[in-house]
Amino acid sequence: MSNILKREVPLGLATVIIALLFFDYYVFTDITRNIALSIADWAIIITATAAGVGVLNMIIRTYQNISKRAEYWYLDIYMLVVMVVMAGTGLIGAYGTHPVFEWIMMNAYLPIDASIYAMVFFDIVSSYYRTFRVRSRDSAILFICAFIIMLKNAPLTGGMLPSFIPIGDWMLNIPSTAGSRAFIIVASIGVVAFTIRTMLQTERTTVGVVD
Amino acid sequence: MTSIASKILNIDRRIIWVTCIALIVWPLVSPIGLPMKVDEITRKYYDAIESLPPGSIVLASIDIEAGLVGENGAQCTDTLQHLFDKDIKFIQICFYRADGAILFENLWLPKVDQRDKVYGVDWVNIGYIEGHETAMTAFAADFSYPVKDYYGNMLEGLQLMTEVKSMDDVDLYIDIAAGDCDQALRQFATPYDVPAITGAMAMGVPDMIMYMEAGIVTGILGGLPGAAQYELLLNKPGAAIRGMDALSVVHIFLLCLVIITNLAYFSLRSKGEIK
Amino acid sequence: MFVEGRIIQMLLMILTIVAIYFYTDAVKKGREVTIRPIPALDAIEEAVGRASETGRPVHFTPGYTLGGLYNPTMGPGVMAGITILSKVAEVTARLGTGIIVSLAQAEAVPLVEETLKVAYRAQNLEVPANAVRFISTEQYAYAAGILSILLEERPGANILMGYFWSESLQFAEGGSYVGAMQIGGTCSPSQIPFFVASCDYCLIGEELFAAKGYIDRDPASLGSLLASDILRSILIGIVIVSFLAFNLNIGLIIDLLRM
Repeated sequence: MSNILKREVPLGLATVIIALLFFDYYVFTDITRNIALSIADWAIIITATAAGVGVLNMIIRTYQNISKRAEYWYLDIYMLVVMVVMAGTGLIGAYGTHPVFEWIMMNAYLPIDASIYAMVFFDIVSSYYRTFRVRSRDSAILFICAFIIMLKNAPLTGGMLPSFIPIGDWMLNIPSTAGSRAFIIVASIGVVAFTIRTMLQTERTTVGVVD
Repeated sequence: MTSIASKILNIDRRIIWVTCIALIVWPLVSPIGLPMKVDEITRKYYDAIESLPPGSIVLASIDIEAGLVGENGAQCTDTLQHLFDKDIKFIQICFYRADGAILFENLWLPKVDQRDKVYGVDWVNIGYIEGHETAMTAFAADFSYPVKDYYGNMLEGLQLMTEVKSMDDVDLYIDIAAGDCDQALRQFATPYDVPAITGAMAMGVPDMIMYMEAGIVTGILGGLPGAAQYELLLNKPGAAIRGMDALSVVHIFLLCLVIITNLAYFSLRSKGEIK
Repeated sequence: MFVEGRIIQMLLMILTIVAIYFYTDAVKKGREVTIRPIPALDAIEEAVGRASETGRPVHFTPGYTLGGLYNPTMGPGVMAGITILSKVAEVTARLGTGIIVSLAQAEAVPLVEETLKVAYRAQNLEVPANAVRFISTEQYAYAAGILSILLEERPGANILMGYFWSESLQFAEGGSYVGAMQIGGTCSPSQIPFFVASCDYCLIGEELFAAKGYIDRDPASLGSLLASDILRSILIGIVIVSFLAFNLNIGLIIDLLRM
């Protein structure tokens, strides 16, 4: 496929669509609103199709691993079997109502997912123990703030030492909010700049152009 | 003393983990019944639903993943029960992940008393819609966009869906999700000026507070403590309150651990043994 | 015709577009841009060097998104991480260090493969086998996969640049457990504290998006950085003016800002 089809056409489409959606967000006309909603529908279809392409890609790679007898190739077979069973049972009847699908979700997927997330607690505890040393003035301020917030959040101390609650609330509402707002604003500026660069076609990594 | 301080700074992390596990299990097996106070943000979450007149229509996105069942699960069931008890009509939809819809159907719904509510009239479950924020944009403008509900029924055949066409007809938006509530707030709350309340993870509360300060969100449930306080307000003790004893005990243990660690650190630093 | 309450936003957006175009053009024509040193990006060379000395590979991951690269808030963070990968790949190719890139987005695989190919071909080398590993689109399957890679491959450097969720601390602690030098960077506000606590170096927020301009000195990125700075300055001014206007009850300014 030539570079024009692979790169220039998608970039050109992106420019037109982004410009149209910007226009629709700020200027209300029936025509642009209908086009924008239609584009939203198409975006949803494309996202769902991309998910399917991702699955296809994964199947191809898994098959290659199995043929080459790569490391843990037998686990790839297991993964393919589970994927076919879940996809097949999920498609039968209304989504997610088949008994086999439900059983696997509730008895295998849910406990495994919950367990992996629960491991985060142990990582937090070991990180907390390893790094929470008052080495400087900044870390001392951080420690005092964390101390107050933890005392406020723990129901025992929050109930028995109510004076920590207004201090903790002030910390959450004022300095923490100010910091969060700053992060959100700068991250959003970064996202906006990325989108504008895509619209102006100066950001080409989205079509695989790597400088 | 030096060797004790040095040992304190080099405790095998597995000993700390086992201690934490024991301190979590003990209050669950033998509840202590520690006192609790209700936060302002939780009270506002409760008031937002409590103040709605019967027959109000709520859009709910109770959409948490399997991993967050422990932290946000009680928020989901308590909120649903509150909606059913107050005769508030709601439309449930998931945008973030497909397992959110499956958990709603298999985990949260069976745990609540639906009273005499009729599906299609008092509540509708649309299920999961692919597309994330793009799907939110489309849905907010036109509620008939998904065409079918989770069970395969046509939306136009459900009485509740004939009463609401878009976010303009909704009285409150509830979002209980793993994170990234800001997408939903951007698409549902701000453009249509609909009040919103959110159930977040405990570590997500500082991010949500700033939306509350801006007036976009009117109430927040913060993780398990938020759910426990909500159960206190509803006067329906449940899983969240049972977990709070364990939370308290582990919090205090970790506070003591870090204080002792820092005392040991200062002791060694004062003797010049570490920088 | 104009949507109420968005006119000021629209003017700011138009100003940003014009500024990005203008500054990109200016940088192409030779305007000098000075970016303050970003230690985390400078440390990439050191991290890869350390891995090379110990004969261990470098592990890189650009993070996790809901819905792949198409997520509007998370996708740009992951793309920024992939941009930094080009620098990491350039150094690993030059030093002959192994590299493992773990992904949670299937659509990012060709992009990452292309990034590695460009870097390795510049050194007349082939990309190492099994360097690009797509783990899973499910968050905790992805987390478990990366923990497995960290414990098996025992990388000398663990570089986490992109958008992360709660698994960020699992990766950082896993890397610490195997003794890897760690560089983290994310635009997710709730995960930044974990990286700051656990990593040797950390990129915070906007520094992640500035990385491309810092590394490549690409005119588009540098022009965008300059325009972003202008926008930031304007927003700071608006915040100050709003603060004064609301406290002093200056109706005209309040109405203007609400347009």
